[in-house]
Amino acid sequence: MSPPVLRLVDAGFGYRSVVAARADLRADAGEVIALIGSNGSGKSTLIKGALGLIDCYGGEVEWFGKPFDRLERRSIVGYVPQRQPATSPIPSTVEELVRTGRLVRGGIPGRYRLSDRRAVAEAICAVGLESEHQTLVRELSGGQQRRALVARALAGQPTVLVLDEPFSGVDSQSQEALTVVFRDLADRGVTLLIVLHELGPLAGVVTRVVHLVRGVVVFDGEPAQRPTALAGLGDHDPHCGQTDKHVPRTFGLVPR
Amino acid sequence: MTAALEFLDYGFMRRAVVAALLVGVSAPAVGVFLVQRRLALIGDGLGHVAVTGVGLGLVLDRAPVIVALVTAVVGAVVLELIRARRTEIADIALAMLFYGGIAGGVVLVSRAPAGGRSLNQYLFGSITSTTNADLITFGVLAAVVVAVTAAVGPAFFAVGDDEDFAAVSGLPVLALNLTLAVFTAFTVVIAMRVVGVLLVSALMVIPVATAQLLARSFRSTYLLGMVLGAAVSLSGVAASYYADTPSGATIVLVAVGVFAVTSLGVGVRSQIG
Repeated sequence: MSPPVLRLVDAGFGYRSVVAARADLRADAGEVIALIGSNGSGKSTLIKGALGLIDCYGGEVEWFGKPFDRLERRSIVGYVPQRQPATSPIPSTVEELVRTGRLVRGGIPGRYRLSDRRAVAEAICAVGLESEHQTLVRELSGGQQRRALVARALAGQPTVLVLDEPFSGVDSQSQEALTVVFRDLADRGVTLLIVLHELGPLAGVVTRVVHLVRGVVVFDGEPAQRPTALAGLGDHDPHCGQTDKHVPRTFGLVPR
Repeated sequence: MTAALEFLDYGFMRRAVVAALLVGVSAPAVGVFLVQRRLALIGDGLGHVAVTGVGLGLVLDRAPVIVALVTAVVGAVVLELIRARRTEIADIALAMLFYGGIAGGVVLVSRAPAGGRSLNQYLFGSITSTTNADLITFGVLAAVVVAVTAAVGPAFFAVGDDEDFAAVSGLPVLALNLTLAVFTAFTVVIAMRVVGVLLVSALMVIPVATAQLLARSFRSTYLLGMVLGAAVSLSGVAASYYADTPSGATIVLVAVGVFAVTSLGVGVRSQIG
């Protein structure tokens, strides 16, 4: 039996000795999981912690049965961070950006082989930006830039894709275009772990919802089973401004 | 030799031209990655640190360029380690390092046998006093800088574009940032004799700033930056000979002029187009 794609056991993550999220979570191959919660609910913290980008305060984190930094091929996990549109003063093309998702495969310094060119071209095609591959990233719309970031993650040919708020700052037309991309990836068996405020256009794609409130999982199940009190909360967290006794805010811990 | 190239009759001017060419090519090769990271003035800071190395070299009566190189490399590593911690005190720590560096240099130079007079050639550059030994050092450093930035450039670009993505995809982010910091130190020391530590950042930033106005990719910005860097350095050295002006400052003014004209041209073209 193959190990789960992601396994968190009482894993706590946070910043400067403050635990902002602690959770148990298991993701299996082929699932499309939406991590949902309001601003500050800890969903992005959970993802960044699982990927080793922020401090871990206890618990277990495994990707494919191993700690993340011991994976033989890191590009098996694709990551699309939440970020503002391109603001670098130096221009770069879509192809240059997407190529960075392929770098680790060729080593440093490495050759840009034919197989790498093909993988980059396929990734750009998968998000529908083939006619913009030589366009400057800063000249793309917000939605197109987000698609370019998805292509960058796909260039490493991952089997799991982690997306942090892919619809943030993206108009409804681009959300629909991204949904088509995600649906296609799900159909091809790629596991998707998506941080969202609300399901929105992804309602028909997501197979499981994990709802976080102030750093803890309050619901984990099929979208249809989600309590009405949680569904549609979006930014309107009823716990906002209240003291939640179940939230483990721990101070003075030493990062693992 | 034609009258226009009369300055090449002199050995010290031929050495100056070679030094200018080496700096003109290598400074933008590193500078493009610094500008991408919005760290355009980091070269300025490392120049301040290198002054302590110059002072130490003069006091010990050892090659100031080599001692400055070692000091700048140590400063670059400390700087990058502070920056990597992303703490609130990083900004203050960097200021301490930079101003401590120049203050240390001034004090050390005052204790040197030659006194403070020799400091000026490092602060404002003295390209015409470049020796054959300096040229060998500069040549090796410049070759290494250009070769490494060309080979590792895509990885530097990836980390500069998105550090979190680079870390998740398995790129050695800290090692790459340390390498870039050390190469910035190399470039600062090469440029120190040409434009002086007070103008070091100009050659790292201005040709790149001009190139990004014209280029249509990161790679073409990198290449065009080096071409422009070499062109303004050579023109500046020649202009300084005929105008009898300080070479470092003249090179920087030529670079600023080229940037201004290019900006104007690009602006007019976009208005027409």
